[in-house]
Amino acid sequence: MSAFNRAQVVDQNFIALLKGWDAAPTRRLSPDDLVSPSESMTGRDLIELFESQMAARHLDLIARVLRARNAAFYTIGSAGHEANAVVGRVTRHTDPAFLHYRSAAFFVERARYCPQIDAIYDTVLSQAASAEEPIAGGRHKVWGSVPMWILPQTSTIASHLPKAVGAAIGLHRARALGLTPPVPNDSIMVCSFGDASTNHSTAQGAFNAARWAAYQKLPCPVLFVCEDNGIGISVRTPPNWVDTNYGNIAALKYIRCDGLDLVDTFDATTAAVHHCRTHRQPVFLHIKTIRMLGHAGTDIEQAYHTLEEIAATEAHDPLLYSAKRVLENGLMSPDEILEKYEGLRKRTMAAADIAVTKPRLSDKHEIIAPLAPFHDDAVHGEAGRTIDPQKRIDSFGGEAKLPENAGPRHLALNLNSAMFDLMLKYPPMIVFGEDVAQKGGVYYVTAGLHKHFKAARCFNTLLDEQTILGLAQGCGYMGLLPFPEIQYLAYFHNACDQIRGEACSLQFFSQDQYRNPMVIRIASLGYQKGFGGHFHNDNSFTALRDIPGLVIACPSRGDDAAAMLRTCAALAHIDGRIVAFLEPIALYMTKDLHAAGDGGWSFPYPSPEVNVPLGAGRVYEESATDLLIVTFGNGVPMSLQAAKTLRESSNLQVRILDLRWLAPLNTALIAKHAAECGRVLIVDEGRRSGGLSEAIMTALVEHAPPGIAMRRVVGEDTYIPLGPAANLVLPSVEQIVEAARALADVPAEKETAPRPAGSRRRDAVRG
Amino acid sequence: MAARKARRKTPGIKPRSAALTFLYDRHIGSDAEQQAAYQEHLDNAEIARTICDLRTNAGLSQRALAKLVHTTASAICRLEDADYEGHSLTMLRRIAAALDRRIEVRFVPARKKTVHA
Repeated sequence: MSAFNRAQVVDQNFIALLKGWDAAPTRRLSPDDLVSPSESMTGRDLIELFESQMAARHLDLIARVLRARNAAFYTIGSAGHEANAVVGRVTRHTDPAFLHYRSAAFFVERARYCPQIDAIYDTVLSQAASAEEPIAGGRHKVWGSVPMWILPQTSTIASHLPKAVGAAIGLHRARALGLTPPVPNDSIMVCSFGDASTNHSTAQGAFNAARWAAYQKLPCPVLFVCEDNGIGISVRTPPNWVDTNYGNIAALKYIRCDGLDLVDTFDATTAAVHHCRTHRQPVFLHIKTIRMLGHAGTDIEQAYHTLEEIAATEAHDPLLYSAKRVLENGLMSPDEILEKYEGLRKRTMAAADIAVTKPRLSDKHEIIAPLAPFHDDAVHGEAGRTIDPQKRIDSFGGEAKLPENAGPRHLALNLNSAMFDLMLKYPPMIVFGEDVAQKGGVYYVTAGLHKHFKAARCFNTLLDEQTILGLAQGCGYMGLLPFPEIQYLAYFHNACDQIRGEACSLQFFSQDQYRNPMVIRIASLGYQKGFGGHFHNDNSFTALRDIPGLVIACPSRGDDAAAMLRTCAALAHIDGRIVAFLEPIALYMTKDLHAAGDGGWSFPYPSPEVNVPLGAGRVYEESATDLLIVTFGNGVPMSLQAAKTLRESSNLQVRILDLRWLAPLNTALIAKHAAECGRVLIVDEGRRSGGLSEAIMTALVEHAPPGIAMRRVVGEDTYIPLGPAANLVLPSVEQIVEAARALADVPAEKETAPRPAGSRRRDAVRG
Repeated sequence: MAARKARRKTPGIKPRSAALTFLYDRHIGSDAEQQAAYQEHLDNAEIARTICDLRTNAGLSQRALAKLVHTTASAICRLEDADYEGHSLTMLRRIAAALDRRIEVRFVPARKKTVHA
């Protein structure tokens, strides 16, 4: 018995069964006969499913051989899970599928519905990381296909469940809005995962969200397929854990079957799909499987299973069971099965023989290209596109009530009008989150939207950020333009992976063939006069900055907010981009800048065609050259206040650059202004470590001329405390003034004589 | 070990890629019937991929190519299926012409020369 090459053992077991089979068939079925008289499975179903199972097995086997020769790079296999071929057969190829990584048989079987797909060749291309692989182009080994509506993801931690639920809800939301979804109206979402994955909070949240919808009689046609092999890598799932958890809970129909028995699996899956499709309710299909060949090719299973245990599991190989079924029913002879099996082996080898010679990704720009598509002209043309003026007048309630005629207003009101305008402009746009509907959001940014656009376009969700962002992804697939709201930045962090691992990776893993556009509005940052503590004053968005492809916008004033939001919508609409729109809570209602009643931070609503190009900053006092302050968000009004003090007390002429777009960072813009001023003070309300200030400093070092004097005023590496203590850990106007004086070599204790405007002080710090 | 050495000394039609040598030696070996069967799979796969790649690189859908060669999209689909065995020289010529190519037929030795160390 081979202790290490279990792939060969499993292969030989199958061949040995056939060579040693001498029992006469108990029945003589033809392909058109029903295998089970009470059900609908025919002999043809059984034969073709069995073929797909054999093809899946050969894909597993060849992956290991190629990996050992450095010709393939992924060996998590499907051996033991081949019953999922049934799900591929019983569902439609237009039922969007979100698959976990043991889905080879599903993939091969579903390809029968799309003759243009060569599932074997495409899978080997994927294993070999070939640039010619149709979905990911060599960026990952994923199950994915556009014609087969299989949306690619890596599915390692059940992160794909929330978006499957989102797609189920989104399909009906799109229909309710009179849109034409990209899949038939009676489609269901197929979402598969292992037993160990059910323990993830993402999975639990998705089950909860689906049940939450079903409990309220809201359509949520998602088929959860739990392929229960009883083990997660090396950790056993307690016996009957899945059955006990899901066997009898409200608003989630549970159906169980034996994945070693194709007939039982076919009957159960048919019932599950029928219920899900007909009743538009979530169904939990529990398929008992086994796992063979370890977790992956690199997994030394002997470390946690004895050889006897491994061999005992292999004795329950689903292919052995399927072969017996076919033989007993007289559908094929042992020789015919063997010929088919060896034919599939040769076909897989031939496919691999060609696939491994195909080019791999060889250029970093080629790799990155689909991550963040940006068509500058199209995006900004779209951002400036306006709708029929009369429609606006009618919708706002008369010309006098148009927001641009309302005079200067604070950030929240300008944002509210911008949201209203965008919902007029984009019929597929939907707004959702906690408290966004009747209440209009905690800060009233969405006030009135529910009343005007009704519940189909502005609705409350349950209190779960993973669900909110999963819903956004799913709705994006269904042709909607989602604007989810995250109530506070701190709440985003428990759902970060929905954006980091899922939403932002979709265009990368699909070469931009699938998209999930969205604009995530997040009430953010600190300075709420001590109120609320950390969770309402979270000042760190570093986790967002670490997400490839994500656009991060952060307006500091109302007119910019409206104009930037239009660009964000266009980025999502034209290029499928995902945008995090950080709204500084402390500035929502701020009207004044220097003194109470001065109205210095109130701005008129920009007319509908005005938009802010991606990356464009706003410059204050452009003629000033003594010092440049680079900042954003709350830092902008604080820096303006500091600049006034510096101008009046020290005759320092300070230029201020409001970045507005925090990712991608406009390094050229920073370098340009830094070069013109010679001294740069960075005001970053984020944390000292890992904050934006580090990126700005890096940009200065890498892109600005040498000799630029730099300092920064930043938040401390801490959570924000409650009460007035909050001010001790965040940048203040006083700190900005002090740092600017130090940078410009101006003594703090005595005022200097006035200098002619425009004169430069950089000599003191240069050289 | 002796058996392995014996296989190495009787090389037949070899896989293109060295990564496949192990499987080839194990499952095809020097058995002429197996070699012919593998070669047939390889030929079918290669024709299917070549047509598919040429069509894709030309920016044509299966339907568009079908129109150019006066056949149906499903016929093109079959030609791009690695399992299809009914290729005709006539149809391949028509496809080649539509894609601005020509067919070149070559007969090459069935077996490579044995190289003795």
